[in-house]
Amino acid sequence: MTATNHRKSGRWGRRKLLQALGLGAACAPFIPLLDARGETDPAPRRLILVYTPHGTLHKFWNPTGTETDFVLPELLAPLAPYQHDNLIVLKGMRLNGQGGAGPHTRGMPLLFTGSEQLPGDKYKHGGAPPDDPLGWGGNVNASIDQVIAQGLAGTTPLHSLHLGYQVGGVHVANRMSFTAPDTPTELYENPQHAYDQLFGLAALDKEAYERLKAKRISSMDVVRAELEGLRFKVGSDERPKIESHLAALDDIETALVNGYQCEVPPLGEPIDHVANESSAEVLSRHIQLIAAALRCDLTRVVTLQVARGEWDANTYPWIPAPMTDFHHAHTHNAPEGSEAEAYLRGIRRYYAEKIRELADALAAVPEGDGTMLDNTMIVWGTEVGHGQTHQFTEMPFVVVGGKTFLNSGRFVTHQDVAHHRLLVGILHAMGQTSIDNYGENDVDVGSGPLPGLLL
Amino acid sequence: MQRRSISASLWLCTAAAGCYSGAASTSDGPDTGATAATDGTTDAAPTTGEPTTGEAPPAEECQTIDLSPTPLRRLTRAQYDYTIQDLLGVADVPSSALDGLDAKVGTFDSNVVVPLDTIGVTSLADIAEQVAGAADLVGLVPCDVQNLAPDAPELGACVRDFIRDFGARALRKPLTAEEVDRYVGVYDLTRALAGETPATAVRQVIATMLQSPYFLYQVELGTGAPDERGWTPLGDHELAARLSYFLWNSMPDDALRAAADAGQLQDDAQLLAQLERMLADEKARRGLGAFAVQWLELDHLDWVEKAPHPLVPEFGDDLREAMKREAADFMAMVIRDDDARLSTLLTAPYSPVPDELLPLYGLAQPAEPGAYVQLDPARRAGLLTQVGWLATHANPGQSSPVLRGVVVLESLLCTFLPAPPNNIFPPPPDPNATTRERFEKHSSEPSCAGCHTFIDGIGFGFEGYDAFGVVRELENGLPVDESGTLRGYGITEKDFDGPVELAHLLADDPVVRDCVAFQWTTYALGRILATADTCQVADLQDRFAAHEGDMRALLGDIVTSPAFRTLVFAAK
Repeated sequence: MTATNHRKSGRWGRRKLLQALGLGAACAPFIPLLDARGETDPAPRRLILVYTPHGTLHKFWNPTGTETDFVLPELLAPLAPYQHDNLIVLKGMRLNGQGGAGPHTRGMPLLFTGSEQLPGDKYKHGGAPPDDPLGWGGNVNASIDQVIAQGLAGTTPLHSLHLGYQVGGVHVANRMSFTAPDTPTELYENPQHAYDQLFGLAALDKEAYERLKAKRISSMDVVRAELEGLRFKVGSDERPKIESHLAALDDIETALVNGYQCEVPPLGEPIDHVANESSAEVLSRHIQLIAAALRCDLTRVVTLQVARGEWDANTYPWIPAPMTDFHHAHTHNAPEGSEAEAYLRGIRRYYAEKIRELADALAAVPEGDGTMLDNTMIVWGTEVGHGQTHQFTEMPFVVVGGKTFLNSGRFVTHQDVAHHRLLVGILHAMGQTSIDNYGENDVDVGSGPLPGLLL
Repeated sequence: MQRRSISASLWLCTAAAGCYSGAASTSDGPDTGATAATDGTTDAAPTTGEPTTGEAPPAEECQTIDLSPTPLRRLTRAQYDYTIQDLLGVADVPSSALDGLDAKVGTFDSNVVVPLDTIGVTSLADIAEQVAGAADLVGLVPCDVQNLAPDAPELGACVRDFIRDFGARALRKPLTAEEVDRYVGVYDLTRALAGETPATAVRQVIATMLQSPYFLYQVELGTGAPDERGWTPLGDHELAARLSYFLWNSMPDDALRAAADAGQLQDDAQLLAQLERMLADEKARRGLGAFAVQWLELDHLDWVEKAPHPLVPEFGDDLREAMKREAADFMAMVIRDDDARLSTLLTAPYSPVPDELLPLYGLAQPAEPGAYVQLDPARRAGLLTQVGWLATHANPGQSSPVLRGVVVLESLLCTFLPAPPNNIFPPPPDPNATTRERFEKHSSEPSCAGCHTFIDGIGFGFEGYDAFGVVRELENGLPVDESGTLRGYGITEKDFDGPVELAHLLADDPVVRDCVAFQWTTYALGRILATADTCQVADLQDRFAAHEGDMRALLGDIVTSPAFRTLVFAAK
């Protein structure tokens, strides 16, 4: 069964890939890289959506003070350096949307699609018959990152970048981003794979790059012709699979023709990117990749998914834990002052530290009169308000960065406002200003961006 | 009546009655009832209604067989790896970038849902180039392409022959002239680039074929216009591919292709002869073994964590793989070398225990290669008493009656449970109590008992095994109680004392037998069995019953069934 052993990481590094391609050692960097954008161009806006699982502990999360003069408590304290000009803490948000599945499963795709889960039978318990009432369908919208990326299509070589850690198999309950209704977006869990895809060609000289490009396009032309031949021969329900494959070929070819090279330091020694012990390092590498991809303007839309809502078996070995140390299990039973509660506090503080690390990485890149963080909106969300109650109220949303277009430096208390308004706010901030309602709502959530979010 | 279980919505308990707890989620993956069920969720579907235990829906008259549509299936990662191994002789396929791209149908790997996007297609292109770059061209190409002069006159015909013959294997169908020309075009273009050679151009052709939709998907177009039901018989090579991916998790071999070329697979006797031949081939261990691993959700071992154990200081990949291998090999041996009976699978006091696992069984003497190890018949009986299954469905440092009970209900009884409610408070660890004592609260509280009389009644039967499946008589210094009650949809309630008695009850139960037929059919077709398939599944269940649970006969009935040989167009 070794062929199915997913725990073992690939034994083929990039060096071996280059050998296999016959390119060997004679490669030298050739193109001056894109990181020196023209000083006169206005800096582009970027979006990073971040997900972490299972809500928060409000007692240690809710800031105290006023809208502009507030104190960040334990679970947000790592973000203190940004609190005066590049941070918005949103209290009193509600996740609004219907669906058939349980809260973790429902909240996960709802978070950034704003859309309800359909009744249906596509996703269900193992082997259950299709009319089993335990099944549910997919969500009815794409997620906002994909809407925004679609609007920016052709602007950057890469449509969008999706990274994750311990996100589980492809399933509507395991993904924060959806390319289309009911179509989870693929993501990279192994930072090295993302690195190879994004920056691997930077090691080729121009002649080798052109040769590789010619060969790959020739191969893709054959694949494309075969797919076109199948497109109308398969049943119409199956056609989207062929069409998605065709669209991917177009994307890859565009990227090859544009040629995206950007100097990025290697990530370091290979690591077991699924191990619990690797969490901090994997996320650090993802953060490096995000900062590099934005700096090089490979893309302007990113999602970063840490674990998942349903079936989360993550542990955090460096945080003292009760005997059964699964994060999720403890969210169900963490009385005040218990060891489990302390464990959860440790985990959520850790998430905040990683958000800080991401902000720091962007803030380290000068851009215009400020930094790249000032032009990048990081939105941090989760699938339930609180792990034990599974409530969809008091959703702990945090926005970091983006001060050139956001009304930042604030702690805003809303009165149970639907998160759809935040989604619309994000869409507006990223140029989709004609969308005043997004997602499927069963109640009136009002229209337009979340009040006070944008400058 | 039990055979109607395919269309039965198996509501054993109301969702409002809950308390489904005590088990940390140890698992991943979509569609795993056992694991979804460990999550504290409520309002999954209706929350009212009484238990409907034992009431099958009205039996339909099965005058004709109907079928639900056939989805386009992309090779799973295992199928992709094995196919490349068999096609090119590349032992170590660098496909780790495909991690996480496989989806599930039931508990089985099958890529019917999610289309490929840019990342997936890019990864597949990279792997194709790496594999093609590493392949040994000697034996693949009919001329010495690596040493011939670049302008050697025989190259043209040689490359064309190669594309035709190798292409028919790689694309699992004969190539049309137009298709051959396209691949020749890749060769010509590559060959003309500075720095490329005939050999590298051939490698580019191979890389292209490995990205072809005919390679990456199980392309099924049928043999003609569909009839009014949307049915069309599968083509010879399409049927050959179904057969080989079912039994071998890989591409057809030359003999199977020859049988397809000769049109022999349309004949039941010839098809069954191929089945027998293929079962005898070592490659059958892949397909039969993968069924066992996925059916019992042993693939969860990839992420299940364990607390240190006196016998297992560190739970590493070797042990995880050995646990899967034991179940996989056992299934393959029962079907290929033993009597193929379901009852043997579930009750045999022997197993092909890998050396790494001997200490967990309290044994020292390794088996002869390829032979069974005799186990203590008082403590071990079949698959459900193997340490791998017991360890997978347990908490890191303790047993889990809930996890084990749920998997038995869902995988063996096809009894599916609603998600548990919110606000679950799992019984905390207690050094002065047994696991059972802590979990008995489930059955004593009315809000929990609805489901947990079913779950725990089975799960308590495994309390004589710890988190690693090691036999124990004491827990926290207290004697363990492994008595229980088997309850489930359509089952006559039966008390039992211990796992061996439970295993025999399960082995004798027609509900289990029907469920196993259902699971094999799902696996063979790689798609969800829908209401439309009821009569097809019922027919296979009847035949399985008539064959007294002979799985080898079941495999024959499946591959000769209409469902296996027909393409049903998926059209709105």
